[in-house]
Amino acid sequence: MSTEGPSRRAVLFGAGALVVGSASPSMALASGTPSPLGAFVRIDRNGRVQIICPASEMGQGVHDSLARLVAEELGCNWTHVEILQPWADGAFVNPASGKQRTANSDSVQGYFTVLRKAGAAARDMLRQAAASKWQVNIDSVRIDGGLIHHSGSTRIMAFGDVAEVAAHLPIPANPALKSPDAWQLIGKRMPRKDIPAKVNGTATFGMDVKGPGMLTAALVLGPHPGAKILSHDSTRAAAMPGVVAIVPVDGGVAVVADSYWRAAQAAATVVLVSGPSPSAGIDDAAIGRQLARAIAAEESMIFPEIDTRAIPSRMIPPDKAAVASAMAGAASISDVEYDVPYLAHAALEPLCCTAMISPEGLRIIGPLQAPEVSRQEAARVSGLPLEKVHIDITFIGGGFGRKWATDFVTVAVQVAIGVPGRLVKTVWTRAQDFAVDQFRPAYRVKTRTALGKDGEIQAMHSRIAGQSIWRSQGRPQVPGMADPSAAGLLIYDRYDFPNKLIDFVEINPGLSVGYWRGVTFSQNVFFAESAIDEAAIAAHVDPYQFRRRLLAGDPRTITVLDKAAAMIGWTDARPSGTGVGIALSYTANSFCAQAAEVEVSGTRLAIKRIVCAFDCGVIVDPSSVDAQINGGIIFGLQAALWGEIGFSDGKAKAENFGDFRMPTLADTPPIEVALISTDAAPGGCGEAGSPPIAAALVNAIAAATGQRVRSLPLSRTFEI
Amino acid sequence: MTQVFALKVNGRVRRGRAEPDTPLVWVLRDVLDLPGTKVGCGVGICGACTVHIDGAAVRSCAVSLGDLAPMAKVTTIEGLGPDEQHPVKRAWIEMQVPQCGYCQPGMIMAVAAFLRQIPNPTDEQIDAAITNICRCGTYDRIRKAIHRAAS
Repeated sequence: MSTEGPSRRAVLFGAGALVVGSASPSMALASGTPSPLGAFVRIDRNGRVQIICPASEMGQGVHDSLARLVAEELGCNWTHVEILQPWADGAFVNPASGKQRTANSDSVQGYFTVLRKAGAAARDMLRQAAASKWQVNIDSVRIDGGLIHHSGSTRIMAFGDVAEVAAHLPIPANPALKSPDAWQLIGKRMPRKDIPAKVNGTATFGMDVKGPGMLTAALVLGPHPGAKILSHDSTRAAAMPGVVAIVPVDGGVAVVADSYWRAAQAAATVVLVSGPSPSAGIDDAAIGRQLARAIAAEESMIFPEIDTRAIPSRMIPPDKAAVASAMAGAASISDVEYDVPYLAHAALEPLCCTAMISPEGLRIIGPLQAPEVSRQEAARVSGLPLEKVHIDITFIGGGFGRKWATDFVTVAVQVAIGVPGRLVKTVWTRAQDFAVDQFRPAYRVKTRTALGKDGEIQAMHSRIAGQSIWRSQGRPQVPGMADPSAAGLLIYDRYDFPNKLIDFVEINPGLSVGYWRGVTFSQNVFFAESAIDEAAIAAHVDPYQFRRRLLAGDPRTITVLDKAAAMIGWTDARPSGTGVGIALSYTANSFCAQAAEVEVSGTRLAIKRIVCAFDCGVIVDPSSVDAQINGGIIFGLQAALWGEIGFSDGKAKAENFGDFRMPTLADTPPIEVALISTDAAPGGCGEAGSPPIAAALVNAIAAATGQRVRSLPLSRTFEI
Repeated sequence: MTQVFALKVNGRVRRGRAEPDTPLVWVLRDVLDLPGTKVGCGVGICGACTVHIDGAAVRSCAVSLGDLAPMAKVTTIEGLGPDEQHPVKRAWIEMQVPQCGYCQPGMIMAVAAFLRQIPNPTDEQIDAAITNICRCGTYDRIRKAIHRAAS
């Protein structure tokens, strides 16, 4: 047992119970422990303030920014606040989704009001307790600089003096909130509280969870995800050093040992016999044929236009007859096809999860984006009631939508059931992480655009073919409507032209697909912004001006568009072979415009600069928004330049980063981000930066060379 | 078969037992309770497992216990210091480099070794030397932090 090692405050031990971050309900009532003032705030006798961040921290900075919302209203001394990681709890539900899960870029949006109210409520409970102690009216009590003051005298009280009493007061339902001009934390660039631990190596990720006597499980997976395991021969493995158990799990077998390496060595000797795969024989050629048939199919499912300016957004069904008529009467028609491939999440922390089942219940500790659904799934798998399942969330070493799913939690629970009474961490290798990924599907789009004789768009019909994420995820489809994750915003409502028609034809090669950063926008911004660009060129109009004209009366979109155009120097003279392109997206109530400058010589593509103008309304932490957009552009750049997952016999070919190239420092072009500050309600930014870059690049390439690239990744066409 | 080993890790003699083919990263994480060094790919591509052996940056997933000399000097992120005072760690905090943070210990170790060799690097030298993967894309702040640490 090592005596060295950092003190990892995420893992504490007491009397046989494993406590991580959270306190079990019984702990909260023991003396000397912090008193809860509502679900998000705990204050102990020494006045130490703990704020619970309800969302999962995976690099977006929510750990810090959500806690700031509470602290802003509470008025505590921010320097001394300790932020706790969340656990699965109905009290932490995000009002935007009605669930506790971190996805859809809706953490700040969803919690913006409820967390400020939680801070304000705690503030008013402290004020009331102080007022009672001083025997004065609450109106004369205020909180300032982390202390409680009485206006009518010089009396001062510390939070710790009244925290315990305050905790027993009723929680005010509608406390007053500060006005934005009084904000001291919201909107300020401040150091994030999770960063020192991430620099020192003391931050606990899912891979780092540890407990006394913990075991580690390495997996042996069948050759095809989704193939049933018929039998396994683990006799050699069972006899190897340190091996404690062999546990069948979904899709394979877990070898449980006293250390990872021993588990992995033993796992390598297991022989599996598996049944046929639902996707046997599926390769890239087969997928291509399915997409081609789908694009030409007679039958399709409509997806409505979405008027995103309306609140709430409203759906506008297409008028197929009007579209057909406009097409028939057009001065010119163009048909173009675009293609994007399957993409992997490839977060740097591989899938992993720790669990223990005992008579007390089921404890899970992991890097999970969806604690609530994971808890329900864990209860189902273990047969335990929900109250006996406790989930603690660690820092996540990259989520991007993969750690939202519950499949890896299910496997970890299955392993724990195989070694009852023991804490066991199940770890996927990088190759396994690729093999069981829930990929962003490949899509093919055919867009038919009708132009009038003055170059105005008279109609646009975009058809998209690909897998349905909703079907793969078991989510019920809306009858008669295409899967929104495939077809949503394939043509923008914000561009004011008539006769838009979006339809979808599903293919089903049986590959596992899921939510990848940006989801729908990850592919549809490329399709929509390429099509608009091509329409502009066909109309002999500058692509920036063409877009601008179609956005009349849409000030927030025009603002970011103008800003990006100015930043890239849209009208600057450039040598031949160099060009600029622009692309827009509207996602999660935020507005993003990106422009790229490229130089093409022969087959070599060089990206000289990328710029981005971004408006997400009120910003809680400008540094995190900068980081998310800048990093989001690089994430999107990886996909645009190299991202491609090929399949052979139903299995992803990629096994490591050598097969799915990641940009390194040297590959990063200069990127400038301008944040446009407005006082509109906060919009999302986690997924906003990655969708437009691919379109900005192909549009720039078209400007530089006259050549239109319609297929990603760009490495298929260029040396990069 | 396990072997007894003795290494000088972060300035202290550490002893333990492990199979000689155990990658150093797993010796550090599982036997010596030093989880700061991360595993990202297991094949030496991503650099999340970077440590120093005798001062040189090494990807510890690609080095086995059996490859190390007895009492080899190993430094991990926990030992790069003292604490937050190491210039690279200070620069990382000042420039607020990490997002998810998973790659950063390895990145910091790679940069620390690099700056010992080339104390005042150009951008071209940085590009050539620092090949660790950051999926969150913190490269712009990494570059700024490297220049800051160098100054």
